[in-house]
Amino acid sequence: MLFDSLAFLVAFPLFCVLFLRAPARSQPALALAGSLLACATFGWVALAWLIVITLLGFWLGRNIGASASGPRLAVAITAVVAPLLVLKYTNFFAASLQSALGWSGWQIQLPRLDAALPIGISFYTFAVLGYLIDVYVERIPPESSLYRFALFTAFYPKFVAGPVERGGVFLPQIDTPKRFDYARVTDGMRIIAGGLVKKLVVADRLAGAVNGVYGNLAAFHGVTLVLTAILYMFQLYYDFCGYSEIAVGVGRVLGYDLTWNFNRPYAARSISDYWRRWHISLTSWFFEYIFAPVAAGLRNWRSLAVVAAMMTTFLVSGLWHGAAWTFVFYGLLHGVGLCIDYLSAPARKRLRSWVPSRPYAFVAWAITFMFVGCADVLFRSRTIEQAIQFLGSMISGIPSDMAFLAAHHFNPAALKAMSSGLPTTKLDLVIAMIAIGCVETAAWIGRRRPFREQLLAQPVWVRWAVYYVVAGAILYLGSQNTATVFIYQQF
Amino acid sequence: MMSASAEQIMSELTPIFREVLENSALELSPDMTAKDVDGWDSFSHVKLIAAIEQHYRIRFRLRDIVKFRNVGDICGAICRSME
Repeated sequence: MLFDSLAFLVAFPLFCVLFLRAPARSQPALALAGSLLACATFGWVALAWLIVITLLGFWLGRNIGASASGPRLAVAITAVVAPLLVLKYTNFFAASLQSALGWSGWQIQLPRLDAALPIGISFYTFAVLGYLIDVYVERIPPESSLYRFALFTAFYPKFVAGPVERGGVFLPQIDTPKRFDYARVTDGMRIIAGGLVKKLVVADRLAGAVNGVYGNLAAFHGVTLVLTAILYMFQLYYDFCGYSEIAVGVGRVLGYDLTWNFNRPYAARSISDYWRRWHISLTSWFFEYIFAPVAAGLRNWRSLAVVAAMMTTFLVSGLWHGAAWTFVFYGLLHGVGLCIDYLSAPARKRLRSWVPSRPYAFVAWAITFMFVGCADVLFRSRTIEQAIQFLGSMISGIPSDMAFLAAHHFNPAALKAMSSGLPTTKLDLVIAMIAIGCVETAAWIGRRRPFREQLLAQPVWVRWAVYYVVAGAILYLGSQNTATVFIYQQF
Repeated sequence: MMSASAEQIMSELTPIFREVLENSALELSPDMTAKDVDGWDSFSHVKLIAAIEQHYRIRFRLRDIVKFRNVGDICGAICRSME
């Protein structure tokens, strides 16, 4: 049962009425029962793994809390991460080993694991790992109640694709009585509506064009592939940001505060700035639980410690996203980008004092945007060969396309002729562009105070005009989409 | 209220923070966190810890380092290391 399914649209309001009217002491149990039921809609295997990791995490947390030691933590981490490693990476490592042996002249057939990755396992496994480390370093006490801990791992709004919450942030919220609060519930609904617009109006609309190009890559080149790369950047961002906002909104309606996962990532002016704005809950998790201990452990290496910790962190981040070499290189590419960002910081600081601030900011933004766009080609491609083919055709085709555009004095009709090659309807593209323009303008207006809060200060006709347009777009355009999934649920 | 030794450590830490974070006007307080100081990020934090350890000729435990939340926590760890 995903957020954009009919089942959720029916079940969620009914559950809200039941949950917000229930006695405070029974609300955690009700939230847990509702979450487990919702998780069970993804299949009994998914539910079984959730229960196994939950029981394991709870017991190991109590164990570490009773007597913390490094070896005990190492065993606990290994035990919790083992199912994820086996289920997600066995076939990848077997195939890679088989290829490596094949190149060395050893032709052997390694067995494959025939098991689908249980939905949500990458997210709740990391939540449990963070909890165990927090207990070990005494940031939080071990949780004494199994059902409270189970709600931390299973809470449905964050089960499928995060946000990756910390025990210290989520667990204290569980016992607070949740009552119907008009301002809070309507705020949550506005956040959900924003997320649905991103997912149903933009991301699903762009998916057709992007899938069409990647499905027939040989037919495209140059500027068309540049446009595809940009469309995919927005598809990926709006898909995951849309999911995350719905999760935060659902949590808020129910009285829980979840982590805000995105902050205008494509406005970033450096790679480090980008990662402070993209998938914030997971990035901060990686920096706290991988980068910080590795960098601290190697601190005598000074700058090299940061470089080593950065590469380790982003290698793990790449692999977390998927068991494929494209994700390994995606992680390593961002790691290299961040190392360059870090090592060039003093030189860039000097440069900033010479160059006027606006041109400097524009160039910094453009470089960051292009870097992220190229890295996202790796993220989207099925194989390294496909990514190389995409980038190669894109770069080699640019000179001739630019010559064509220059011959037509860069008029919009010439650019339109190039985009007309995209496998999508003109209407879908126009709708997506208008929606992106509106959403990004609203995000820019709301960069200090959320747009939805500023909207409340507007006259009633302005507010309701916005609500009707948003609701109409979600219902009409959303109903035209063919069945799609959230990109990050596969991780 | 800080103890005398904590105050002394704070005054010794100030020039270290100023040098590593390249901020000559920085004034430390016990509840100051990385979010309050421009340039105090995950990268400069590593340099800060190494510089503090070198100054006091101490070695923090990894478990303590990852727990540091503010300047006061760092002062506390230095105090404990020097006891």
